[in-house]
Amino acid sequence: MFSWSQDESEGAAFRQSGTKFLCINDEKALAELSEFQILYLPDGKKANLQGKYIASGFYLADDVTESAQGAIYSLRINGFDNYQIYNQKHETTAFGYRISDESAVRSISADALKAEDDAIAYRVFIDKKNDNTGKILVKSDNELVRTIDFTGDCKCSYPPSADDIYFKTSSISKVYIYYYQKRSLTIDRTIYQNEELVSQLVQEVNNQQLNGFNEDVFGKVLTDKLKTYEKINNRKFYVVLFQTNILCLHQSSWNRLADEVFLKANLPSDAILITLPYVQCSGIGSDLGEYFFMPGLSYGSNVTIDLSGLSKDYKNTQRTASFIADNSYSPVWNFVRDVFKNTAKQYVRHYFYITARGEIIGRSETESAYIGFLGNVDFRLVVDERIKKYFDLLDKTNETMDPKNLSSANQYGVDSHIKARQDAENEFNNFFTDNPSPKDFIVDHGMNEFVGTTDENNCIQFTEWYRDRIYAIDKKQASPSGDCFYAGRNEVDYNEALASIDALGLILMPFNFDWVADGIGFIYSGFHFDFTNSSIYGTGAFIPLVSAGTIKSSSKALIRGLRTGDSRIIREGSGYVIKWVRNDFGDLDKPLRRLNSPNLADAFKKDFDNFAEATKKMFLEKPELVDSWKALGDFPTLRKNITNIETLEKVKGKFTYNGKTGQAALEEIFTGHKSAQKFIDNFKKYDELIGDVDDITITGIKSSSEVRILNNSSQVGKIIDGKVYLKHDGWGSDVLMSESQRITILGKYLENQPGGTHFLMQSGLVNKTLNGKEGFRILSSSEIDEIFAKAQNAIKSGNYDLADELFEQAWEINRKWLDEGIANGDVIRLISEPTPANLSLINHRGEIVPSFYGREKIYLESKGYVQQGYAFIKP
Amino acid sequence: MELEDNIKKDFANLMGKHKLSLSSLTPNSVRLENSFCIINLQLERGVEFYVTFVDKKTKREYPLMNLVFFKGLQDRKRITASSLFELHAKEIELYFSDLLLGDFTWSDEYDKYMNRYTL
Repeated sequence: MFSWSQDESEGAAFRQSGTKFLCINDEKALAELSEFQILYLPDGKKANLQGKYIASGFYLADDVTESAQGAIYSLRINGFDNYQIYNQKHETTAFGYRISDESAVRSISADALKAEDDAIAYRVFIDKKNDNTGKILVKSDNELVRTIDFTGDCKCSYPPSADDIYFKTSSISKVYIYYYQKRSLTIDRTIYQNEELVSQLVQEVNNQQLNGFNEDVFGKVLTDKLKTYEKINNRKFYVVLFQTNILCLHQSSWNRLADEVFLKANLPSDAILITLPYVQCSGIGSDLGEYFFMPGLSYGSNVTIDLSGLSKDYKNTQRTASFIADNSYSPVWNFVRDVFKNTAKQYVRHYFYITARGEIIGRSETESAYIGFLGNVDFRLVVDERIKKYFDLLDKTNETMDPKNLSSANQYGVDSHIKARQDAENEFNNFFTDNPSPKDFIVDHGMNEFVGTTDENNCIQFTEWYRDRIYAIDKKQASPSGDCFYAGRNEVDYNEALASIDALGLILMPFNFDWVADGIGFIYSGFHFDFTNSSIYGTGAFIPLVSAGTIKSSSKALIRGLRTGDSRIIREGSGYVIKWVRNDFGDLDKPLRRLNSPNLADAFKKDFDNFAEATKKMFLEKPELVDSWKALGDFPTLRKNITNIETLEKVKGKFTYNGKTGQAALEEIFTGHKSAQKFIDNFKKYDELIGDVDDITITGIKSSSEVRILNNSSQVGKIIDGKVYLKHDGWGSDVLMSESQRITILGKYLENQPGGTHFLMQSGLVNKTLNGKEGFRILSSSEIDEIFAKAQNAIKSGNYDLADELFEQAWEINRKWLDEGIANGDVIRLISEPTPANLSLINHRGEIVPSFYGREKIYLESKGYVQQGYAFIKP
Repeated sequence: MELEDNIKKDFANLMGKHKLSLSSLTPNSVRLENSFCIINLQLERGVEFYVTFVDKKTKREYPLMNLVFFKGLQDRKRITASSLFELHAKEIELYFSDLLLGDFTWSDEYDKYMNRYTL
């Protein structure tokens, strides 16, 4: 069936400017046209279709190539359009599928279509009107022999831009074509016109917008790269996967599909989108891969990508469904990675220096519009190695201060100790006189393995961790979780066999940032990931660890206290001292420590002074409430309302926003929220009614007070103005919950499809206790399921009497369930339009009978109910 | 795939005659289509079988039972068959083969008829 050529192209009349053609998508018209079996090929030769093939597309009368005018453009073979393939001499060699500019797959060769030289051949011209209808004119030697009306053309366009071709799929494609044709599956040249697929990919984009990058799919390394890129460059990177059952071989169509999704998802001008629809063809050999991807690239006007940097021979197939870039070999990710690599981005250099005293000096520089992947963020760390001697001396000095050395000493011992102490102190004081020259060395930190992933916060974390782990007095750092810095895997991480590093939290937390105001703000802004507003770029900054004076006057315990939060560094005169902070704020110590900011601490103390006594008590007993107070930082009035604070505290654990959860999510959404009080009121309603339901989370948007209810990241409901709606994409739309009455929901089952009761049951909100009573109710009975299974077997075996009996048993259970709803005074809500299609069916006997939904309607009417709108009521 | 196998067997004649290709959407739903029409077949809970026609040109859906009532076929002669699926295949062949040839010219009348169910 297939043959192969590297030197051929499928295409318009030899891909010249002025090529015009049209395909007919009207089976009746084509069937009538099939009376004419001898037609012309674009090179002027005659082709005999032999009753096997249907000519479906033709070059138009004004095509630039005279011999092509009225000749065949495409043949329909096995239901699919195959297009002209020609060689360098512009001879038509076959009809088949185009793969790239240089290659194609043949379905039928021109030789196999060869007609007798003296056969009477016809040319077919298409006279298309503007309304998608027209006439097919069949001519022989310019004499009109038949006119056929048609409706519908293919709307395809040609040729695609050569820049659209990035994948070398040729040798693999024919295997997939064969696989699809053998199974009569759809091969679609114009996949971008498939509204369902576009809609599904748009949904995937929306999911990524809502939940951020999915590390399970992207892998940690690529996720970190993309996050860092977005942070530094104010761009959004979307990569969406979706399994489909439609095969498309035209790479330009893949990109047009991405364009469609980009537009439909309403992505902004700074977005980059890669769509990855794919088909899985079980059984295709392991050397080729069962997974065939159709990657498309689309990006906004505010993005620059050097497309010449992309290869033309990426692989688009792989053997497994493993997409994770850093855990397994995944050819498709080479394309994704290179798109990122060739996207214009800033080049950031971070320089950090650890002085002999343990001070850290940091400096960063940026360069705009840098293209490249490796090296877009560069991190250099230099250490003055005198630090080791300096800290050893500090340790020794502290040792001499320990009173236990004197506890059992005689006078000689005391004198010796005092001398040793004076010597140590003198040596310490003279350290820089005795060791005047810095001895710098560059730390081989290993973070260049994945440079481009190092953001500023990461560099700070690493620098502080390095200083304290290698040189500080205790030389210990906890490593609680994870194997990555925020932005990238770290070679040191492995070399040191550490699980992770949390140096930033350990070092900065006890400082309480009291000295941020001293002009050392970049750590603060870095800690809060506020890079764009930070003063770090292009400026130097200085972070003192401890001054000599501080060290002299501090005990080892105080320094150790820095690590545990019991002490902190405060400016005193021209230097710094370490002081115990426990009880510094009296009763408010715990909440204020959670705020970690002097400005916030001042603001909270003012609010606290004006709180009622009961409220004050609540904050003192539950210091964590201050987190919710902090989240409402933009709303000084709202945060004085303890009900608001309590509500946020209760829902915090279930709240997600922009890929964040809990406190971080709350802080982000309330920054600049347009309707904060109503939003909180809806949170309160959620907490009252749904807060106890497992697997349910919530989210929202800044521009609305609506709370969106999620189950496994899919929206299943919403709360607007204190009213709870169960999401229903069918007749009557969402189901409104009543706080006084239970809602019994009736409708068609529609297994695994939106719009039916089965879908609503998967929401997690139905047949659940909401605020002490059932809110939404849908019939769900394992007994009925078992009866239906028996009935199915009875029908298969032809035992129709038994099947009828089983249906009656099932209805009896259904009826009793309905009676319970009637007795309870439930609101009866219909979710399927009461049309014949939903209320009746043809059963196994060929009889028209009521469906179970139909029986429910009939039964309720027998009980005096009447339909009013989307509900059944009892007048 | 049980549904797909059953459809392949019991709809074989119909598929051959009208050049219908088959694709499985879910374990409980199958799509048949030719160049004019899509037939969505949905088996609910193993016992209720629903048929919906889709005009490929307009993308409009026409559930079989609505058409039965629209065309006044409620009292038609009962069809018998060896399975639920074969029965529906025969039903389609006998009463709805015009749809498979792309004849949806009656759609305006259908809309008027269905108005009675609109709120």
